[in-house]
Amino acid sequence: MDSEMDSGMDKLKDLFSSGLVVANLGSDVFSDAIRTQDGTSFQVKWEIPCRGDEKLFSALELLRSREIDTSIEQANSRAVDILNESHPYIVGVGKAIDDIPGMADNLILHAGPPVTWDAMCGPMKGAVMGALIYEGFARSEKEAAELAASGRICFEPCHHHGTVGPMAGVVSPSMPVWIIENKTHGRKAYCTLNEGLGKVLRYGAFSEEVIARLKWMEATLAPLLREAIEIGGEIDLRTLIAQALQMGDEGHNRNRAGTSLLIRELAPAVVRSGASDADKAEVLSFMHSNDHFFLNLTMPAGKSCLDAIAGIEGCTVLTAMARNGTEFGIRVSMLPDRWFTAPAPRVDGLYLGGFTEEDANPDIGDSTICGTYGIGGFAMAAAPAIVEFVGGSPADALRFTLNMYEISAGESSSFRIPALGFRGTPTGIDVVKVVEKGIVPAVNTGIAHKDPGIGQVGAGLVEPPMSVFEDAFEAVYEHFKTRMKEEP
Amino acid sequence: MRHITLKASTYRDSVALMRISKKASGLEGVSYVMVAMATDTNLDLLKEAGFEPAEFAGAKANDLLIALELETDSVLDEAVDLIEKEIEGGPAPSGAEAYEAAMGLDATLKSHQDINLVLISLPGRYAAYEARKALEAGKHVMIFSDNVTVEDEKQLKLFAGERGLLVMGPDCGTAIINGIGLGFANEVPRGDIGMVAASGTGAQEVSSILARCHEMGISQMIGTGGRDVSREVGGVMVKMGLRALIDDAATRAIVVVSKHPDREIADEIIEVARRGKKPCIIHFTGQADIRSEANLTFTRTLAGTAFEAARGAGKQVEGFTGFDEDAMAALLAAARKMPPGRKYVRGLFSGGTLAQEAVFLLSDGIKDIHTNLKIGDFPGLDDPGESVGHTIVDLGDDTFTRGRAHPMIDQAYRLVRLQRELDDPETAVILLDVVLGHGCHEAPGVEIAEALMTALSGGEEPGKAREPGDRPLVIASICGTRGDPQNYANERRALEAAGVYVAEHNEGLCELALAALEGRRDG
Repeated sequence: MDSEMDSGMDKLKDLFSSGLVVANLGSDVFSDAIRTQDGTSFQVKWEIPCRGDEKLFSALELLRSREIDTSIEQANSRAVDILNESHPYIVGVGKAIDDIPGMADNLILHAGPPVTWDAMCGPMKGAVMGALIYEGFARSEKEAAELAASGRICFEPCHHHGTVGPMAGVVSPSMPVWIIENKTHGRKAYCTLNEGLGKVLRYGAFSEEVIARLKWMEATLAPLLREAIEIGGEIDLRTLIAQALQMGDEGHNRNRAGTSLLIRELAPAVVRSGASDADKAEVLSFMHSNDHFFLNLTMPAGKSCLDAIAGIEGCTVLTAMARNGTEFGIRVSMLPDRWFTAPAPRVDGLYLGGFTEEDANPDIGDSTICGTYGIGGFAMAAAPAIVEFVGGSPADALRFTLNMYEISAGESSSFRIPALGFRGTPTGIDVVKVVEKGIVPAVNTGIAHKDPGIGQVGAGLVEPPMSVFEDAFEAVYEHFKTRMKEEP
Repeated sequence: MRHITLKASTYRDSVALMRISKKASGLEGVSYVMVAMATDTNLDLLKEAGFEPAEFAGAKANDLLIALELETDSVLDEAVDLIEKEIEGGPAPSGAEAYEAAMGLDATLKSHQDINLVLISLPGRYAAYEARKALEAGKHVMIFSDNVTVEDEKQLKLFAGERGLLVMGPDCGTAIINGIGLGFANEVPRGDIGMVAASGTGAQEVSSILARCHEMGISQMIGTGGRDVSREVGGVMVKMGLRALIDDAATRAIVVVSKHPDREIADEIIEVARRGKKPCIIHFTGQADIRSEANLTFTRTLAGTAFEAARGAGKQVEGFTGFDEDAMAALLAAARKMPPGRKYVRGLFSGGTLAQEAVFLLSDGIKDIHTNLKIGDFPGLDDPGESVGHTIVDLGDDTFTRGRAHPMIDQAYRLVRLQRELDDPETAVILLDVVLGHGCHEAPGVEIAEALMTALSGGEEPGKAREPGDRPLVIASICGTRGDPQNYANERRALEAAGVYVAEHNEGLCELALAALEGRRDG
């Protein structure tokens, strides 16, 4: 008792002997009064926890009870450490069937959580049909659709194969893929090469020009890049992304700086390669003409790091957010085999000339891996050039990112934002905090036309469905409740 | 016409919203306004006001609700515009301000490591939740909010006690740490009297009298919330605060103020004080039967507590009166002129402890005081909204503050009640406490004075004007200091100009009241 008393006196002595510094939660009248007296008070932003949902709040109270809270905290900070230690490199360019684990001749990978052919949205179907034509499995749209529906083709999420894909995210056996390796943890991740803008497969377009471009990429682009990396050596992606963030990219919707940096890295080796001058020029021009070429590298970089935190007991950090155009899904570290899904939301966006909301497909693509990794929407404050997405002013972009610290388990040690005094980006989305604070992760994204074959019609902001986070939160709660019973 | 707007998931503090409601209700043609969070309580109030549940179907507790009843449809746009502008507040902050404004508790504590106290005024259940987080982060906590369960309070205080952290509250209205007033606090100089208070206005009264009448200051004032001294909570924080002040070199004398503690807890508190050796002045309101000993002085009144504390800290103080002799003479003269039908005291208090002290002190001279305070054998009030015989009512009680700000902030109801007591031909004396300090109403005395002037000049209904002299006497005491933001002198002048007899403190107010009643009887 007496020793307790002594420690007690210490804390109070500290209070009495140092300046009073207050955090005020609630009525700002009290903050004002403290400031009038020349005291220091920080007014705290407060929202009703769990958006006022009593049931969720009761669950939250249990999760925040000392023992469980500590165990979550420890697991989550371990996850953040792993993410920060992760060091992704471009190690080569390969071919889906040769390199992607579990890839098969009759397997098509797609973005987002699992989905059947019947349930696929327009652009996803378009991309699948395009891939079947590209592979030579079908000669026409009709043949491709019949084959896809026949049951002879299997569909699985990219995410189940260490792979991620933007928009439809369709990967077929002979497609070339970037090979990324998180050297710290020996995790590999894969992603196709970015086709450019306009009518492209990832938006569900599959006209002749689309197929022809894919063929060129397979025959010319990929071999040249592969050779260039062999000549120039592996490329440090973590450093490239960190630099791009300080040059106005956020790594998801703006990749102009990252693409430029990549070209600088690759150009000397491209020139030294054995390809024809015409091919070298075409490859460099192709990358130059496509501001999003780097996106297909930030995404697998994130994947190679996030896969390293899958399956940590008690860890409530997300390992994936992904959409297939029909559903939005998330995965949580401590529940590695599960997807939590809900119908994909609409994108609130700006449209290319002639298109309207009517034309838009619901949210689609694995590119939300960026936010999950602590870039993309989470690094919005780094990208003032695209603030139109989030309200129009740099201050909006700043608030956008600041809000994400509220739901993140930690901060990046590599990716830093100049406008925030080089503070690390919010990293490791904690599903408990998402539900507690009622703040969903910030997602900015492209918008696909709802019909196959048309392509991109705009870009904008998506509010992920809160229900997927609530479902995951309840699963986390059930897990701990069971754990408590097992080890009283 | 009725009009309802719901703004989904928009939280604003209730005090801010009440301010907005009040502003909008000032518009011509607006007969009813409620801008509030759509909690069950507020929805009930809305139903009582005649709105149909269908009109606010689907409203959730975190939605912001704007309900209007208008005499003329044409003011709708103006009213809604005004309210929405107020809700939005100033222009969105940019840069560093945006940075600050966007931070929740976790982020704030992280980026300002020097924060040592978290002040919480949130709906009860959430107050406990956030308090726990603050304690986990190693911060002292003050909980202004009430409606925290006793289980939560106990848990929080045990947890804090083990770590040497303070939990002031729940329902802690005031504290002064390192010279900075928190919550409703008076501007008092720093000095060498330390206080531990399980009662808000009790602490304000003692510290104000110390500053204003004895020129003494406060080293620290630790609030605990009234329930700390209950058997369930066990006086954890009173005892801890007491130990801290015993240990504190800057504190020469210690004051403990509390409303009727549990007997066993009182003994424990006394034991800690006894072992502390420092002069300790203990006031348990309504419990005057404890004998002083060695370093312990037990007092009967709050003013007496301040007096003994000043002496305990070494100040040479003489006895002082709680009222001006001229005021007493004028009061007695007026009392004698009152018709015999005027026989009852009506106390309309905003401070709970002040109301309680009034009940105890007045009961020396008058019997059967009805009160909504749940104390002793005093008869209750079936309807606290109606006075019966001698009545002392605590307007800060939950029944009056449901969906409404505390009377120390918003006197709207007190003024309605004041008018009613003025109109009652049996009212002899009306008692009012005027509480000043940070966080309180900006000029409560002036507002009361204006209401009295209007009422006594016959107001809008000249028919109600009575014969000269046939009106109740109004006695007030001002709990505050000359340094308070409200301007003490101005408050006092306004009240006196409106014919109010102003006492130096609550005890003086009771003495005046008893004298007036007696004087009337003598006459």
